[in-house]
Amino acid sequence: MPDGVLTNTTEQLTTLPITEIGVETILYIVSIIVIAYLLVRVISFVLRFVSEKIPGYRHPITMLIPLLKILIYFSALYHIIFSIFQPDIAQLVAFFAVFGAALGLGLKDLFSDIMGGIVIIFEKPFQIGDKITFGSYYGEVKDIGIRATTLVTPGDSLVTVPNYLVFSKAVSSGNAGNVAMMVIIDLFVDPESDAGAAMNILKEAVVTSKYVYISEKFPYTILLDDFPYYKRIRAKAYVNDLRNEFEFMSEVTRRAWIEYRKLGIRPTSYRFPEADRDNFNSSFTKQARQDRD
Amino acid sequence: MHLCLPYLLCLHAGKEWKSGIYVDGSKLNHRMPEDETTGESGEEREEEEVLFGYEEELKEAQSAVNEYLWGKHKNIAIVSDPFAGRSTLVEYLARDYLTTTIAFNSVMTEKAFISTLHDANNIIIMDNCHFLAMRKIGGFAQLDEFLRFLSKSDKLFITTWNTYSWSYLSAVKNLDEFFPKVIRLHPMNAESLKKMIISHYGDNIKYIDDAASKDRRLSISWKCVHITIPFSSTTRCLPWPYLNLSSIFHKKKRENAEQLVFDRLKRVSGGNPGIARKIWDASIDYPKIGLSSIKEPTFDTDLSINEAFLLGIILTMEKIELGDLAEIAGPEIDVEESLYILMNRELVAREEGYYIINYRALKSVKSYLELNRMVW
Repeated sequence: MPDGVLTNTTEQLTTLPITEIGVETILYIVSIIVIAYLLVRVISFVLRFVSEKIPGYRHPITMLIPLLKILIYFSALYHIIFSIFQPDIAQLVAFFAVFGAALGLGLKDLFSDIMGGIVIIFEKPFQIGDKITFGSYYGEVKDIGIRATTLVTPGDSLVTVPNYLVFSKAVSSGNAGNVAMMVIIDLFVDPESDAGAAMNILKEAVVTSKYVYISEKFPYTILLDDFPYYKRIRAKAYVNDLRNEFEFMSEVTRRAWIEYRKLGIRPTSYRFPEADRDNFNSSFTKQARQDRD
Repeated sequence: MHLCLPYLLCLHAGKEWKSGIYVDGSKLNHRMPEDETTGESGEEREEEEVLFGYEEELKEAQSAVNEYLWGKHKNIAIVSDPFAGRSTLVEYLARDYLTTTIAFNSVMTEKAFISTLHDANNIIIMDNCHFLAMRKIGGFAQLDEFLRFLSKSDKLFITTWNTYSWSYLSAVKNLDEFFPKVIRLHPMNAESLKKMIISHYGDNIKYIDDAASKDRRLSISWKCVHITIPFSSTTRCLPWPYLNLSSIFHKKKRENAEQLVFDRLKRVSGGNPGIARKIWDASIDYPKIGLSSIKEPTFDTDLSINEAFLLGIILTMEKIELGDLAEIAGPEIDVEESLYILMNRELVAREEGYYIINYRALKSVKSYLELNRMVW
């Protein structure tokens, strides 16, 4: 920063009309913080409640939460600043210049997180309710905060991921704001098995599932891959609500295997290497599989 | 039992039916259709011919049949919600052409009906075709067989389907490719419902506006403010919203009772003529009908996924037996327990051994299942 500008800024700030900070001002600031916090909680609660009642619009409604959070917290900050300094425009600009520099130097990570939060809100690489892989975590986005994003993993663990990761890590969203999400279900059968019958049964297991959603926009596919020691029958279909992802996989797999046994279609006897053991006769989400592949 | 609800749309149901085959499960009954309310056979009914609300759809279907007679072959699918009167529509078609009619009355488990198709007339009416498929592994055999026959046949098939079965089977089995001519029976407006009701009850009904202020709703309309553009002689209309409070403060300005009754009937029935008729029957104290007697019930639709799934199956099949439901549900779902809950909430009713959607709940059920993507 050139010396002249720095001198000017310093002069502006030293002449800030700071009000006398008494008990009243402190109470005012505390009440603003409390009101802002309560407002955020109430609005979040109401919007979440409403979104659960209208599943089709869950994502658009919940995406208002982080936006309102930012608006409320910034307006609270604005009121706090004005209650202490009562600056004019030039002084306000000068204040934010120095405040920004301080953030850049001392609170770099926090500032990156806040900027990451703003980018997430406006660019929407994912939304509240999406199933995403963020960093090394996979789960449903529960909250997008000013500083961090909260995910709930399939194991029901709550993971807090700093927002700045959005600048450096790839984020994959399985549903991109939609309630329906593609799920991939793999069944591994003996190579001697009747692949046509196996595909047909898996197809019917998918399309008759209580969790499936099929339309022109959400089609389903059944694929066969022939490996030396097994055949992989893969179904790609959309689950009607991403929260039913694992139930969908489980239901289709169970029903398909019951029918396979009736027709003498056996699982492969091939023993998968330890690293791929969980691949065998199980299913993965699109995201998880992409990560693994 | 014949699924058609003849009294909904017509007062006459075809003395000129050429032949009728009614199919109940795997049994074939060769007989003329019976009016389920009167027990009269189709031959005996000679009342005045009236069709309300779906005149355009009937013309569309007739035109497609005429095109077939001139050599342009397009199989027809008539698609509607339960109680909407699609069976009545095909009865009208059956009177005008030499047809064979097959009406399915429950889930088809055998392919015997295919042999009937071989000997049938060139125009075949198949009513309630959603009974050809069950949502379970191996549940599409009859439908596949039918579609195989249809794809090799020169005959014209006029079929009727439940709306949600049609959408589901179109997504799963590309049904819409086999039936290029799709005729949907859309909800009726208040005026058509009024014509239909008056045709049955006569026009000496006394309408009473006895409702609470619930129907005196605020309305917003657009008013015009004329503005002369500066430096020009042109006058333009600037629309602005106008909040009409008079409906609250001035009771005299309300619409007439008759209009209010039919508006409410339309709203409560969702424009479904069969449901409107049932609601009307339940509300009228002949010859009087009060606005307050047409009640808009609310239903608890906070259901588990299993209950919602069963509800969806009942909606798409329209009527189904416990055994068929259990087959579709599989061991994961306790069908009897779920049905008990659905019946307790008055979403489902039991009629002659079949589970059906409670007609009053149809609107709520559709809305709930669509929102949750259990039907589409």
